[in-house]
Amino acid sequence: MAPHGHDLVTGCFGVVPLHVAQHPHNCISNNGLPITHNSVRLIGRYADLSALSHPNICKYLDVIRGKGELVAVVQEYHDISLQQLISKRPPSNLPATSTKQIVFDITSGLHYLHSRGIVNRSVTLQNVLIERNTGTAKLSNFGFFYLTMGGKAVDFFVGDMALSAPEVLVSKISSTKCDIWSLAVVLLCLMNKGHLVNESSTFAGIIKILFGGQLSVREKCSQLSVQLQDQFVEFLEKSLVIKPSKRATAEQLLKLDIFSECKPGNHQDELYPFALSKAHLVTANDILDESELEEPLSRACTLVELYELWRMAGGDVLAELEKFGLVRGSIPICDLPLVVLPSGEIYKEHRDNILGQSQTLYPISPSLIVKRLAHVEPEVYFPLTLTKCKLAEGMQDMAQLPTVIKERNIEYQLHRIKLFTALLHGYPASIDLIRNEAMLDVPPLLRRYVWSALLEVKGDIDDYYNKIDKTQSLGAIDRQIDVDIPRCHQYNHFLSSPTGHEKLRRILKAWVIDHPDLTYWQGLDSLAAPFLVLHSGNEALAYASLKTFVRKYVNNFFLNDNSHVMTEYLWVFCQLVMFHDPELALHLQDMGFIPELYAIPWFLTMFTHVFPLQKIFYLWDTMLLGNSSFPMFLGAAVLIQVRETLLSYEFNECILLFSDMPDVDIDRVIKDAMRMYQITPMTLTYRKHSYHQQENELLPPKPPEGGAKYSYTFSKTFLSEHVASFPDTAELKEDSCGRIFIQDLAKLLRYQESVEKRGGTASSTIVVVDIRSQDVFDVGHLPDSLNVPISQDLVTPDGQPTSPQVHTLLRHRRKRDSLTVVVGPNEGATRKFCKMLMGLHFLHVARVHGGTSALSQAGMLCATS
Amino acid sequence: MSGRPRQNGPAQAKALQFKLVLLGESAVGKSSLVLRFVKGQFHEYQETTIGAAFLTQTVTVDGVTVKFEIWDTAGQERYHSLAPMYYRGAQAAIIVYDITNRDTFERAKSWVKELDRQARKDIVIALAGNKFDLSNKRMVEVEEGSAYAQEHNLIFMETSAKTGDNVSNVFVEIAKMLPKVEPKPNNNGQTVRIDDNQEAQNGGGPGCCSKN
Ligand SMILES: Nc1nc2c(ncn2[C@@H]2O[C@H](COP(=O)(O)OP(=O)(O)O)[C@@H](O)[C@H]2O)c(=O)[nH]1
Ligand SMILES: [Mg+2]
Repeated sequence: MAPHGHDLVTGCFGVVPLHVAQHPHNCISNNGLPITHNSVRLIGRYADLSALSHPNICKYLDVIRGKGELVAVVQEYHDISLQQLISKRPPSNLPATSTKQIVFDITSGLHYLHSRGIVNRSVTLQNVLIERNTGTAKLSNFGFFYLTMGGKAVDFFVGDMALSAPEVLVSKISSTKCDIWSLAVVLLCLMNKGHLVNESSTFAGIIKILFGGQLSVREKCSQLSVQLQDQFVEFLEKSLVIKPSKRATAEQLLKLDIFSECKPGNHQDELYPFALSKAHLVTANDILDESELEEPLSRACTLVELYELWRMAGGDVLAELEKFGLVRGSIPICDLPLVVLPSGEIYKEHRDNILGQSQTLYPISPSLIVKRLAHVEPEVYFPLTLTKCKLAEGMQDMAQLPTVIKERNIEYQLHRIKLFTALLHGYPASIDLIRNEAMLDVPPLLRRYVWSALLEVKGDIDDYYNKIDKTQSLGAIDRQIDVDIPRCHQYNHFLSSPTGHEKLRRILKAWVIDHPDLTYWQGLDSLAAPFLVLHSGNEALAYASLKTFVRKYVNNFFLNDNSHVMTEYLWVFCQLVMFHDPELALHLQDMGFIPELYAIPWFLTMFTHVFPLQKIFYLWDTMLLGNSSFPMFLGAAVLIQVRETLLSYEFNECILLFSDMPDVDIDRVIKDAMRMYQITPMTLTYRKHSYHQQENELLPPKPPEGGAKYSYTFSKTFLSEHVASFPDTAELKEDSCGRIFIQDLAKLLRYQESVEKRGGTASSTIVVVDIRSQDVFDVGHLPDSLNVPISQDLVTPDGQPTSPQVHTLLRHRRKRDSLTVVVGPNEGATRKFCKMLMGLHFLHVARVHGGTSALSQAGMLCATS
Repeated sequence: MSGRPRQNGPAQAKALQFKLVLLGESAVGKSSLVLRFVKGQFHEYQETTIGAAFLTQTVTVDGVTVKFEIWDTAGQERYHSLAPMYYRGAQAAIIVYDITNRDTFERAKSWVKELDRQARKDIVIALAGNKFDLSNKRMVEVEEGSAYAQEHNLIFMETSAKTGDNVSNVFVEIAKMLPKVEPKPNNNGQTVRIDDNQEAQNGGGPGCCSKN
């Protein structure tokens, strides 16, 4: 964890405002859709830049779309440029650095960019910044040529003509080689302590000398009165070459003897636990060095973290630009067109042409957060995760507050970011700790990694993804993907950009090719969207996350014929609603308002088709902690949240209500779902067609702790027969409440017993109702079960319970903390009894699969003593 | 679970209710047509329809108010198995294709055939060649569409959800063709019964439209 040296006084990130070229109004592209705004294209292309990280380049931090095709690009900032360094009065206190090291740094930065296919085109003295405490040179503004699609999206020349390679000026060809030329000219300037000059000092004059094909490097230097240092002759002979093909590459230059002693920069890797071979385990003692902690914030936060905190504290990039007078609100009348042709073409006066037409970097001061975090204890920056994660005092209360509040509290976020960073570095070993912490909340900055960890993404994901041949033709599926992508979450700038479209297409195709037994259903696009937005700069990780997600939650939905899977899923969902809100469930059932009519988009897309991404982030933060049935609980929570409305509605109104998802409170949905999840027997949501056989849930309970009343052991064969005899959905539809497996009942009883033994009260009381006649009951029954024979009426005509057992049973009718489990001798009787209970709107009713005969086979029945 | 019929009957206003279903290949503009008809809007980036969507709208023809209960279905072939759930019992259908895409016209024809076999015998069907505004890119001539429609006794119109051309006309023409007597209080107006789904898929017998 190398400390970073951001200077807090002068700023550590800056913003470049860019005005991109506007399209004429009402332009329509080939497919009939409006032409994508250049600003949106830029935002799409930014994704690849955001993923770049190297000691000799300035990190890109954000891109923001302003009004009128203004794009604000936020990036790492240092207040000294190479230009200033070589000026007459260089800033003091800089570590001594040699021209050689600077050239090496720049070349290293270029090599990194070129290896990723990025042409800089803006290598100039201003665009090389010097880090104050290390003296390292870093390329800044290197991404504009790439961002603007080779300069096409802006009306100005990207770069500096004086430093441009011959092929750029003559034939407008820009390859990585043009950067090498600019680098050579920068070196000439460096040796000259300033700009290049000749007698006439005109641009043309200088260019003429530089481009002079016959002149040697030495001759060029002398004509430009550059004091050529001998050590650079070879470098220049290889780089200041007219023909691009003969010019050296950055890689070749780095191998020159002159650089043999140069040190590559110290690189702090961006957090990327999924490819880390070994965990970075750091203890506070290794790091806590008094002197380093004078400015703990700047030293212990990465730039990315710092920017995130600044934004959370209310930092607003566009407002900062306004402070510089850079975003001028124009008076609406000035926006009126001058001429409108009958064809619809509109001519407007060009607005202020100077603003945003260069690549000037304006510093932003993070003072906003520095003050607020001044008192944060140093330990926060280096949390000890090996022993126990504990929130500092004062933060514990915070943790209980709603997410929106937590996300605005930067002290809290700093804690969380630091803690999760440490945990993620320990992934996969730290998975349990990550899970625990994620129950509280997930810091937005790290959500993408936390999600991938929760999904247990592992292995060489890059290699895996790269090996899938995504160019393969898929026929009809290709056409389907092509029509779906331009309609998928298009309010999101990234997803609506051409880059976003391409990436989504590749990921979807990769998934289809990678899963020969499954296929593309409309909706998979929406499902992929959250991952792609989070990992916009890392397709492989987006893909790996999607893959594991689909397998866990929606695997068989994507079978060619998924009807049996869907039918089963939706039926179990119905039973879940019945379990928690029988009144609502019966109302919906009576109307014929079946989930097939409204819930398919919910579950097939795990809500991504019905909620905007921002809500999905919160929803999935929790969902990823649950098992494959958890989404059903979310669905049930949505229904229950609007239950009063649904109860008062008729069929049409209900259908209309869900045609556009009503505005539900997501925080509450999550809370309700969690509550239901905790009190629902695991096997109530058992599905034959779920991918995971939910093995943990079907395991027999642990061996007894000696002498317990409810300690049973089941043989493996018994259990597998028990599960295998589970009926098909068609038969289940005759049931009026859900079924649980016998081992689930045993587990619940044992749990209750152990809690009671410890003198506590279990969160729910289990009432087992045996509906056989009393004489059979007396021969053998589950200890403490109630005998309410099916043959007997529950209440007398005047409403009195017919027996003390019935009385007890009825007491549990509306109890939120009761679980009523029915065991019966046969299907008919059990169904009849359950139906009666449901008719009375009994909460939390389940029947045991196999009924009393299963109990008997399992040896759970005892005679009345 | 079959649902019981809803009370859409005489107690309410005297609007006649008809169930109408939209069918056709995906991205031909089914949802856009409905959105234009019901809300007067058009979204360039109209989201895909998963499963189906439901909307209602009324039109008045010859002094009679007709209320359409519109089921807008998913277009992808894979969602086909859900379709019978929506068209069964429907009194009207709009089969949509995109005039700039030939394949969608072929798909429309197969929908016509399927409805002939599986839907109510008295169902009123309209064929809509959508995206009329893109007629400079057309791949299906008007004559072809209208000839096919005539041959199969369908209402035919080229529409544009984008400009709104002919959109409400389609619905009005359908409304004109629908019986103006109060539908008998049987289950015709009833929406959906999932449980006959299976039979229909397996090419179940004729007359599966009104059960009970
Ligand atoms: N130019 C044009 N585009 C249309 C028209 N109707 C729909 N679209 C576009 O076609 C795409 C698919 O439309 P949609 O209604 O979702 O089709 P559906 O899949 O059949 O429901 C969307 O991008 C619409 O904006 C039309 O009449 N003209
Ligand atoms: Mg649609």
